[in-house]
Amino acid sequence: MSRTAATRAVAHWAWRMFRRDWKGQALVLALLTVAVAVSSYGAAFGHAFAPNDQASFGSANARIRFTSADPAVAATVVSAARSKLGTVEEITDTLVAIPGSVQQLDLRSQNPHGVFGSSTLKLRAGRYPIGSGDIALTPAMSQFLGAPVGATVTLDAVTRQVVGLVENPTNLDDGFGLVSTPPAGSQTRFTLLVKASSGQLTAFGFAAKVPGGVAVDTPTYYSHDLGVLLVAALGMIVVSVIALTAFLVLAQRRVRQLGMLAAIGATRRQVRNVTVIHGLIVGVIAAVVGTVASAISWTATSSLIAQASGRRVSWDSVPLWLILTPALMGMVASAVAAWWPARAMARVPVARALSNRPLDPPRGPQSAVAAIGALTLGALCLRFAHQRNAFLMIIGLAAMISSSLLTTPLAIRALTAHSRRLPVTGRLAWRELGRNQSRSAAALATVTMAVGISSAAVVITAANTHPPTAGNLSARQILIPATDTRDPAVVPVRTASQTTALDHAAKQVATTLPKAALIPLSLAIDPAAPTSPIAQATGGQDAAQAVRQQGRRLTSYPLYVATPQLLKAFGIDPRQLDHFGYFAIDPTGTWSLLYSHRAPVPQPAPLHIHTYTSLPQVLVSPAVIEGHHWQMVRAGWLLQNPTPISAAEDRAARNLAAQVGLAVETRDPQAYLGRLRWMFTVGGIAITLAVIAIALVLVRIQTTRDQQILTAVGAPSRARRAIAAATATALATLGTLLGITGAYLTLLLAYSDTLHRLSNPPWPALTSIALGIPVLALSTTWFTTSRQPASINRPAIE
Amino acid sequence: MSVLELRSVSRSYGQGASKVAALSDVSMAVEAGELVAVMGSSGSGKSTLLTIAGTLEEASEGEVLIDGVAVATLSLDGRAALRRRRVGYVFQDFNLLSGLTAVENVAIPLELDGQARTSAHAAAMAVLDKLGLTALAGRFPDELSGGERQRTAIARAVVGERRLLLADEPTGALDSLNGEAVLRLLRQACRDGVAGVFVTHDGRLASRADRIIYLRDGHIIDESPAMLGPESLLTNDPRP
Repeated sequence: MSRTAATRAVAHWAWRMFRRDWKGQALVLALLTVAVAVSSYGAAFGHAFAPNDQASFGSANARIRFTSADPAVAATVVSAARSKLGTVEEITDTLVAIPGSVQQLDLRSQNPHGVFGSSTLKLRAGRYPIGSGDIALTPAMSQFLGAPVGATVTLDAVTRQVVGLVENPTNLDDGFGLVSTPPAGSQTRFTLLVKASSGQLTAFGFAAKVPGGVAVDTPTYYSHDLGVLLVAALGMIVVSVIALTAFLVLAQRRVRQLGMLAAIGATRRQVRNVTVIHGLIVGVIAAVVGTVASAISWTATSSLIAQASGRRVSWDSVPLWLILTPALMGMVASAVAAWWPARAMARVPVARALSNRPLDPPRGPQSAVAAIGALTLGALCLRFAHQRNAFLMIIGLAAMISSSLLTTPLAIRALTAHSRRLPVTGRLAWRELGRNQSRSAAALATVTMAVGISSAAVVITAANTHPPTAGNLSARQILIPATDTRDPAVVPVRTASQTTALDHAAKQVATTLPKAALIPLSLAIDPAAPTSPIAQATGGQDAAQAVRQQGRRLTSYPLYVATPQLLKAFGIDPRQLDHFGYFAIDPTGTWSLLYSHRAPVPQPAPLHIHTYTSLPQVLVSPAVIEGHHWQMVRAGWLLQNPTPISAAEDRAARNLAAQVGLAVETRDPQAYLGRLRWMFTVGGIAITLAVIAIALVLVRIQTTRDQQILTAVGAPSRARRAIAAATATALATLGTLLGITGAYLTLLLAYSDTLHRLSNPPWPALTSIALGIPVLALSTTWFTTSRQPASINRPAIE
Repeated sequence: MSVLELRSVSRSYGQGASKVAALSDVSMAVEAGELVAVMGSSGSGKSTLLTIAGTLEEASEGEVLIDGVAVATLSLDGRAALRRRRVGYVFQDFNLLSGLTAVENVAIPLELDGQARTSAHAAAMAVLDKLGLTALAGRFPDELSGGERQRTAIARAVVGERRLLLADEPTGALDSLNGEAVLRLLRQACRDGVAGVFVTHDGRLASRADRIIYLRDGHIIDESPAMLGPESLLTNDPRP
């Protein structure tokens, strides 16, 4: 006798039962599917946003960089690297001037099919350059140069034809022109990608004979993957609690059928396996559908994600284990959730099961006490996590979700208690929810989760939107930089006439804003500072820098010249220059000078006026510059308008700047956050309505007999509509209330150290959720419920 | 050796003042090939007697032996195995598994016992064929009439090597014609060597049994051979 044959027979019946009664499990199936889809999408999202060095290293584990204008020296180093470290991929970067512009273009030579770096180069259009007369540009550079595919560009006295558009998919902000061979005789930065041990790298670094030496570095990988999966696992635990309730209801409905199986000789294990296998079937379907839904959602939102993360992350580039783990968790959560009801049902005496006497209702979970306990735990964890302690954050989040879900049975009971004063249809509807509390609470929990997740996402996008006093610039400012595009602390060397020409160009840009003040920005240059690699590569000069130490954290800032005009623009009395040598946005910490001086600097005077990251952060007085024998060079201009700059003015300034060879920076409107906010709003409403629709179908299946009786006693279709609408509206309103309250409470605790970030709630989106869900639930239910139930004489077939 | 033997079996529910005796000191034996009818008013303990005999419930006192094996000595899984291999149960409301076809319903005790699907289905088809249900083998219970469902239930109860057939009001949900047909099937099963016990309210059907046991308030108050009715003249019933 084979145990496999018996298990197969049980599985066969479980599958048949699932197929016959799939509507009865639609809620738990939808819940698990959403959980798998959200976890899978979230894991991929976390993977996309985790900072890593793939953009520079590709699949290599180390990078050797040196700068040289002598091809013979470079060839010697590359040859040595190959003999000592094995496979080496060579990439060169040469900066060339863009005629008529202060900007420079990085001419890069890289093998598109390189062993390590192929993931950092992708062809978007046309072809890769082959000959010395070919060049492929990144889309941004193509636009900047006004050179589409087919056009010609002259750079460094060489005319090349644009043969294609390329990009670095791992860093979309990386602007360059791809050439087949580096320009001869220019100062070129060589990057050698290798896979080698730290010992090999150290030995090679010491032995390399390159003027200026070689820099060897290794990537730093930050992975959010495990953290995201941990959050997903906690979410699955919460979901499995709801699924457990649903499976309990299912098992209660099948008590007689399971009794029959036991009566014909099924063992307890076999009876138990029917429900467990059922749970597994639900889990497998949820895993497959959820993963597919996640992949489709990812594809649909990939352009937004690329815009927000600055890199392209295709679904197939997300590690397979990261996608499959949520699917596996969904299956396990479902099987585990089915285990307890399965065990309970297998223990029901056969005679009792055959008489269709259900299990005693589950003992009151002491919901109120448990909810308060979970709330307290969640509040404490989130409060003391200070947005840094990941462990406390995860525990706190799980506790807050549990607290919201534990509140749902109480909410259903409260609803039933207040049904007395309602008209008969409302009374029937609400009492029905109360009579089937397990199912109603599970439905309400699902609605609460859907609303809570979308509301939290909406509020988080608002919290991450820069307030008017923060961001890169204020809405009234335009920055015209004249520093190196890659390092704002390096300024190209210019003659006096070149600087005058640049000042003239900036004045032309300023004509687009007639009322704006044009404030020149200058950097203090420290001639004694060692030349940085970028300055070495570009022939630029390094700015003097101040270092702030806060605990173990060191931050360096280029020193801008504190001119009276700039101080005035920052709201500081220019007479302060007589008293202070340094001014800083954040003067806390211990300050000292970088490079040769390394002298402590007196506490800078505060510039408590803004937190704009693209503006000068530290200013130094001309007297100090003179004292250190530094120089002052033009580093850009700040255009300050009395009123916010309109989109048309922004466009005009950009166009004019491009014409005179400059680039401008304006306030980042973070449009993608707005799009994400509305995506979450609409998606949240749609998912919530779908969940309500499923819950409604379930409730109506269970109350078919009542509906038949109502019809028999002459209730019009209006009454049936009213009952369905009252049920849907109750679930929608309660779920919305609990979801938004829970989400906001959680975020208030999580952001308790930076509460100001929640000071601008996204009212339009939140109002759409709070009002839209109940109103849409009411109206769609009213207009879609009309069918008369089946004949009262037709007995239900078990 | 009797196929079914009950020795001073009692069954009570509840405790203390709320204690109710469903069966009191019931002893009986059923031999192979014998068909016994159990009669009595509602609440007399008929169904309790059957569920205890079928190992679906435990006796509070006394001993139940099936094929000489004391049920009390068996584990839960041992009793389940006994039900799969030795005891067939027929219920008033059929108790067919709604997700399975007629043949699958009949085959499931064999499959649960580990028999290969093909051989289990072959055995089930043989029984269905015997009961004239071959054409309905692929239908689901809700596609069958009441009489067809009950015949399928009987097929499931006799499939394999069953020794004891228990039927709780097997004709209760059927019209008289179908009720008669079901009784004939029970009778036929007993002719094949199975010991049969059925509960009924219908004296006319009870008269088709070899013996009738009367229950009242959990006690056996009478036990007599069934009287032959006029219909026996129309059949080839070999009963003495």
